[in-house]
Amino acid sequence: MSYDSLYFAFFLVVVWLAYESLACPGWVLLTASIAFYAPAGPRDSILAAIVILANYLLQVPVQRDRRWLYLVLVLNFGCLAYFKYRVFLATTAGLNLFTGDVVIPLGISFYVFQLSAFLIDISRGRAQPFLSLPRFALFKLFFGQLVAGPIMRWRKFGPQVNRMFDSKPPRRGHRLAGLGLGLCLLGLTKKIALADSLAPFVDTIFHDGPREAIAAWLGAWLFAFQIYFDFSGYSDIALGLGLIFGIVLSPNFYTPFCATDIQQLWQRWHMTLTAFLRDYLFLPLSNIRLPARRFRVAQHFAAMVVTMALCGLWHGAGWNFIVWGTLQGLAIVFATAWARNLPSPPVALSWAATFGFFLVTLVFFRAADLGSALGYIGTLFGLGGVGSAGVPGDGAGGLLIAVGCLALLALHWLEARLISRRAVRLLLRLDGLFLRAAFAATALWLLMLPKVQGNPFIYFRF
Amino acid sequence: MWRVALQKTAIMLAGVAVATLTVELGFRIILATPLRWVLPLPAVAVYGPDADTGFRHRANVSGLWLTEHRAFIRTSNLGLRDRDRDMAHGDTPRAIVIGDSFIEALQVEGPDTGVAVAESILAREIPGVEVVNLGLSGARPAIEVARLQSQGLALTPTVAVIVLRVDEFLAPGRSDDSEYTAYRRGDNGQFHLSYGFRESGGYRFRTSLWGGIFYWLLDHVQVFRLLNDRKNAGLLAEWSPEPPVRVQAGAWDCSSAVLDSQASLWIDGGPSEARALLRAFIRDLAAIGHANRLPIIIATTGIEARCPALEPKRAALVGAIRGSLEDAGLQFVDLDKRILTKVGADGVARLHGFGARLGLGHLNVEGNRIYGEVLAEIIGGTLRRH
Repeated sequence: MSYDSLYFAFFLVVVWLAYESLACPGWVLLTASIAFYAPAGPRDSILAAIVILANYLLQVPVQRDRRWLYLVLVLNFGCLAYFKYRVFLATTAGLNLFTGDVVIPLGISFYVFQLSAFLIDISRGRAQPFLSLPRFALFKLFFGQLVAGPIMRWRKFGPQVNRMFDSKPPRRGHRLAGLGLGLCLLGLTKKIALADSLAPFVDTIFHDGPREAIAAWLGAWLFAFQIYFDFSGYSDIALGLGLIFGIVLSPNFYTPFCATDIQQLWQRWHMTLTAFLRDYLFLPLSNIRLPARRFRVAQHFAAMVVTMALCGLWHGAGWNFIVWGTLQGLAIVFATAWARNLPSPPVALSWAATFGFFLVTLVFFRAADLGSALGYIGTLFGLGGVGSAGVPGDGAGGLLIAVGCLALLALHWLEARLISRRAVRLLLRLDGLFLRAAFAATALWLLMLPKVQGNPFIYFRF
Repeated sequence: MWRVALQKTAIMLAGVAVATLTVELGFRIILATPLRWVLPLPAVAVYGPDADTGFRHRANVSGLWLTEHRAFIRTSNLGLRDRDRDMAHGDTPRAIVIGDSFIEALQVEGPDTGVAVAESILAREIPGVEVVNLGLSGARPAIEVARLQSQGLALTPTVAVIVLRVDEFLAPGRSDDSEYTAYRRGDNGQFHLSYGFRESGGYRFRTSLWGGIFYWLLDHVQVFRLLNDRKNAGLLAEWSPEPPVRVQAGAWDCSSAVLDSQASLWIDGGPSEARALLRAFIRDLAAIGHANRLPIIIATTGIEARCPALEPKRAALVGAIRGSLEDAGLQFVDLDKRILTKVGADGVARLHGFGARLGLGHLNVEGNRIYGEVLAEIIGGTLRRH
């Protein structure tokens, strides 16, 4: 099910009524989450069930003996490798083992990461195993974060799941439901009004190839905002859904395009993934004991590049994604080295360099393959067009397009003000039947816009 | 207790009302500004009931067309996909072009439609000449005849062009008149225009006072348009989204199946129902042309012209079509061939579709321009002879 559909709204109403009227909120949410995932099909459902069950059974062994963790990780990442990377890995190795398109099981990248993080935490003594299978299942299956995160840690999410199954149902949802609806509305606005509106322009420019540098810059700029509004919209809805049911999920975005250096950008972009990579990949790699201390800095930097290259690979099975991730890693290394050895440049310059770098490298993320990405980037820097797509001419002139592009940035800046503590406090003070009805009705009107051609959330494909 | 419940209901309804007004205001702002080229909006609904054809454009309706490509469109004062004009046109020649959605061209702005392009080209040579667009989405042969009879002749045309998709005669359900005008077999065994839709509940509603209110709301309230859009798309439309289309611009089908089926109709005379329908279509057009001394040109489409291997078969089919039409006093134009001559085999696909779907779908601006040039040649030739 997709959050930006009318049928999901109907589903949500039914779940909410059951949640409010039945005395077993944990079971209601678990049943709803299974129903939410079921339309993905029997293959995806059975795979998710097997992975969850295997992880559930191995919790206690992992707690007792750390060596079991390796089995869990091999199982989890083996599944991920087989279902997501088999064609890429085989092709890279020069083997023609698999044919046809790879259809990635829905949400596999997210549930594998969340479960792996949980079991690593158990092995480190930072999490407690769930003895009850339903609680464990809800920990991963909760429909507010099942398909595309946020990747939740036990420390924050585990106790909330336990409360759902405790005898007294949580009543926090009543206080936070208005805020939750507000976040859902914000997320739907980002997705339906902004991301989906930018998609046709981006698709045309990347599909046909830019004819000139200006079209290439326009495509890159619009794609940066499309993917931001798409994924942060999804994350806002996820957060809002959690709050409606009294669950506080972790935020995933905090105005990343306002960042003035690349590290800061990554601390504000897909924050739960960044935290996962930091804690379970970068820090272990960075802390491997080397015989010579003089290599420590090089090790730190190498760990960063490897982490970000794998971050790229996580996003997609292709060299363009690996290059994208590696470039992010190299940029972080460069920024760190600069900060250690050189004076800080003016803020405006830092911001422009950071945003410009992210914009250009996103081309690797969006392009069909490495060759197309390089061709596109060549066009960006005036090396000639690679296709027929120009700047859209009908209805709007160049000035209007420029104003529109700047307006996207302004909206992004405005968003930071909209979700400030003050705004949240004000919303909580105004919360009531009127506000909730207004939010719910506005969201419904947005969902009424037919989207039969389909623009699924971009991160659903990861 | 009741009082509390009522109070709560009133508060909730007030919230819904405020949300609805906010959304309406938002849509109006979007529609009135350049934001309309980007942000989501309800689509304009241009069709209304018509006693002769089942449906037609309503007069003076404006809004944004969203399917395939965004275009701000406005129907004319005469209820056509056309510019405003008077019914009378004095001594200046007037051509009418009847066709389906390709002629209607809702995907492009009014001046970019093929018919408008043809008018502007001809106007350089014949000042004041008019070319009126009577294109209507889904217009099958029976609707084209009914449209010529009712709305076309009222415009007192000098020449009529009917753009005909030849495969329409073989499509299933051509005799179904429950929604639109269709050819049905009468008591005498002959096919004639039939208007069964006039008895349907939907048509009665649309022509009633309630229907009037419905269309008023559709024309003036954006959220009502949105409700109508959703009703048309289906409440659970997103459950089964359209699969992504993989367009191979420049590729076309050179199997002989389409030509074979057409040959069986035009040359071999089968299947009998389609043949009878075709005869009725030609008979009625010939009668209209004869009674009104109106030159009628049938411009056929749907006969693939880009396959050299099929050329002998195609030539035989086109010869048969030409013979059938000219024997009845109608003129024939092989529109596919004329387009091919203008843009070449590789250029035809680029006349269709927009953006990432280039190569598939309705005519884009370039496609309409080429069609306009060909229409101008066809109409201009006949007008010069007059």
